[in-house]
Amino acid sequence: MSGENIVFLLLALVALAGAFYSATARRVFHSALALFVVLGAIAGIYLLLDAEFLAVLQLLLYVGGVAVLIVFGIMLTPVHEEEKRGPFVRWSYIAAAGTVLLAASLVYLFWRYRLDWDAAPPGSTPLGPDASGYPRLFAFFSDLLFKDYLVPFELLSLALLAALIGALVTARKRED
Amino acid sequence: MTSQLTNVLVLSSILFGFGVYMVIARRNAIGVLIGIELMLNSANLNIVAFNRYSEPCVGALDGQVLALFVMALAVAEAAVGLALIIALARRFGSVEPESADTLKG
Repeated sequence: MSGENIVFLLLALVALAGAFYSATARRVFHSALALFVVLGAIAGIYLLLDAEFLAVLQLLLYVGGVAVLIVFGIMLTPVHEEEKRGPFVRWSYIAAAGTVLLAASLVYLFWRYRLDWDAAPPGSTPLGPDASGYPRLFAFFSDLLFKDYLVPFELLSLALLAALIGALVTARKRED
Repeated sequence: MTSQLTNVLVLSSILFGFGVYMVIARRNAIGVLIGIELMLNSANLNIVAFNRYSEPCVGALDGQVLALFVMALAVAEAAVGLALIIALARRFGSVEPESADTLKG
């Protein structure tokens, strides 16, 4: 068992434990804290998959941005009824059975076809620094993002602007 | 030991299952939103892993770019979703999706 496998196993255990606690915690705030643990572990797995840029973005956007958003959302909303009626809907064990079935069938499929994907292909990502010490991952990544995917990238900024204005208008306090 | 790709895929399908469970079973709308974030992240994990283990030539990082797009849209979705939840709480005095039943006959 290589070192990479051991690190992956640790991160996977952290992510699974966090997801389990997030799904079963009685208070939404605990659930949110566990979600941030899961997101951090996923950033670690991105590092293992040679996606350093995405790992940094994951930490910045999720653990930095979405975390603050969700905590503010919990702070700004009332939770009285939940404490009376419990955090889950009435027939939640049926949902649990269904999702266990779903996850088990996905795991079975991925496990069954595992042999087809055994080795990494020759091009696999480890892109070290070039002659001037600049990491080539970023060169390739920005080449793709700002040449091949330029139009989707600009559309994405438009979508973010729309989301910003939409969120402001939706959450605004009405005067009537 | 199986390949790293299979390990990542198994992990992400289990995470996806937890996300689906939260979306179905949580009473609080913020809990539902947390479940959606979990599902989006497990899908993103799949995209990055497939890109890593099926890269046809050096520098073909299209999967990582796709994951970046998914990430940005997920953040926008979280912002709009939380704004909706805050509006819901203000209008109906509760964060449960069931409480918004004005159209119910």
